[in-house]
Amino acid sequence: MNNTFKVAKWEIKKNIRNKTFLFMTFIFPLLILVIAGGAGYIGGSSSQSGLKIGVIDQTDYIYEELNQNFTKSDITLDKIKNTTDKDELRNILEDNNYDSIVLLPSNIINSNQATVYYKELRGLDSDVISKILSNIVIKKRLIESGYSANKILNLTQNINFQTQSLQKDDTGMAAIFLPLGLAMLMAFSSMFSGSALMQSINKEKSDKLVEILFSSLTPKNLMYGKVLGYGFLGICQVIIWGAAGSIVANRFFDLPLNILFSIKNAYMFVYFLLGFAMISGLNAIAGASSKDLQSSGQSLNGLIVIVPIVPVWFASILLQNPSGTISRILSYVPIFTPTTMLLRMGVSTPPIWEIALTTGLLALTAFFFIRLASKIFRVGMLMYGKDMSLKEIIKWSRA
Amino acid sequence: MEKVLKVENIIKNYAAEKAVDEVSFDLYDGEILGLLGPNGAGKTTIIRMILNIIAPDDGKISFSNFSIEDKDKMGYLPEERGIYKDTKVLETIIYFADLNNMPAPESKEKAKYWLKKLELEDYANNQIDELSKGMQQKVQFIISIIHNPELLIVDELFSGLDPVNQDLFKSILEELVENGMSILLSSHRMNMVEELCDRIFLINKGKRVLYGNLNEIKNNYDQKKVEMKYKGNDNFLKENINVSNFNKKNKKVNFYLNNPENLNAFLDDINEKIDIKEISITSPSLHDIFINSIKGGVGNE
Repeated sequence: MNNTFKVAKWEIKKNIRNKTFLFMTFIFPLLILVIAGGAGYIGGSSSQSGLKIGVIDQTDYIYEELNQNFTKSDITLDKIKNTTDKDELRNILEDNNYDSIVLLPSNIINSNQATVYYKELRGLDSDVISKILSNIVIKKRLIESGYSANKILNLTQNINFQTQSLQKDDTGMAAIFLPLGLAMLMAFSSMFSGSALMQSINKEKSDKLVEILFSSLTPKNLMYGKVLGYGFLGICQVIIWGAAGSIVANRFFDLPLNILFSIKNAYMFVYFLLGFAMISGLNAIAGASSKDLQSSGQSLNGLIVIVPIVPVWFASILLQNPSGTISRILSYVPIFTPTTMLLRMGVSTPPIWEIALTTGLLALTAFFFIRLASKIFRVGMLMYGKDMSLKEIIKWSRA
Repeated sequence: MEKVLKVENIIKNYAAEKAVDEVSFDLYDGEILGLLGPNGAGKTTIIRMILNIIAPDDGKISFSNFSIEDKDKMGYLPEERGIYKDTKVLETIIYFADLNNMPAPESKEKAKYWLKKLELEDYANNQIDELSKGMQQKVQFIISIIHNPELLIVDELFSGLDPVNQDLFKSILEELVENGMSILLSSHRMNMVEELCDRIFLINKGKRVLYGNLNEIKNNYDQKKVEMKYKGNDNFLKENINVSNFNKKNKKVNFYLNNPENLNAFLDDINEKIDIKEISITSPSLHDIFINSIKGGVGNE
């Protein structure tokens, strides 16, 4: 096996056990799942799902019809014994885990009154029951007055709205949130993995490990292996986060998953990969040319690592006007391309020529940075205790 | 004897400074060559060029049995002792063996052999940062030899080791050489170099100062070390042009005598002028030669 792959394998093995990586990869999305799930649960319990209601039917005829209306819903109705004693009602409610007890008085047809006994009342529940109950009572009154109840009810039915978007390839909310979420995931992942790569390079430098490594493999092998290893970890992270996000989207917000496998997402993945390669190159330069982690965060080199996330500052402009001037300008500056295009593609579909052109420019830049990094790597890694100046970086990049 | 390594007129410049200036030496099969020099003399630069970490600006480095690209034929223990902290001992050794193309089953077996030999077998699955500094140094040493290199370069192997471990490593080096390894030993421990090396290469400010068989260097050295106790006026000694580094403490003096071929005449002379109680005339130690050579004392080119 080539030494590049050996290094990649080692970095993957080492980081898979790393607590920060594990947290960011698994616990973080799990937290989101739990939070989203919790929100879904709370949201869900405020609707009619899983309701259990006791019914006291003093009329002896409404219960049957009422129950028929709920056979296909989550609401379970039980006919219970006739009582109005509150203590007894409380006991029945508690013993049977009822959410509420509805008393249908014998004179309901005339009085228009029913009573709901409860411990915690949830508005929507009584609304639904009241609506259905009303229908039953109205129907009864109509029949008793000699009208054709079904006919009248049919004629007086309410209108239901059904919403449909006219956006192309649209699947409603999913079309906006899923790709946008994916774009953010990719941007964050390349940021995290990029900075992990920089730290690992810098640690090997400040721990004086490079010398022993360079006696066994070439600087190129070491750098490419690291980029490959951290790239793989970044992709795994995106897949895991993406899967968790999709489960949340699908399970709690009813968004279809098929839009994940669109051509647009394939383009986005290409931006992610190229962006990752470019950011890795920048991080490798920063890691190899500074003497320790503190200074790689503070120096000019630290700055070049921050640059790729600049488009996030313009996120609101990019998202509101994805084809506007600022969006276009940022798209054509290669260091901003991946983040900008990922954000733009989250909300719109740029023309294919624009995708091709920005991808080409980005690929060239990524190649340039990786080449530059591997040239600076050899010298920078052996320069202990001293930050490389910009002049030195330029000098060695020409060597 | 076969030359495992041939270094010919290598030059390395850093900015305006010549870090290594036309240096040549050979390393023979199965020998330990001492690479000596003060800090900043250019030793590490030479080692890095041999290991193909950096390239010389001029000159040639060649090996009899392999090419300079074959990093797996060489082992290196750098002076800068770096090692992964958050990985386990055994897996780290196996990783480096793997980088040097040694298959895993073999490296695992060899790693266990060396861990046992260096009394670390109970720590194979410990994280490296749980080990003491001396133990970490042993792990680093195993990493440098695990893949059976033909040429081993060790830089300051003995620093930070207690006398027991110094002896342990000394015997291991001797054993490795017996088994056919050739070793370039860079060290400031002159006593260890004297005990281990037949030949030395001394460098200062990038230039060769001394090179050759240690005994010959000592014998040919044109100074003798004189220590004596005596009674009488010693002014004549201080004025003698062949006497240098005259040093008097209590009733004892020591000095270097240049031109030792006139030893008899010198002895006759002092015997007349002072009453000698004790005298010893010896070849200088490597330590003395080192200090004299570096301080600009008489060289032996």
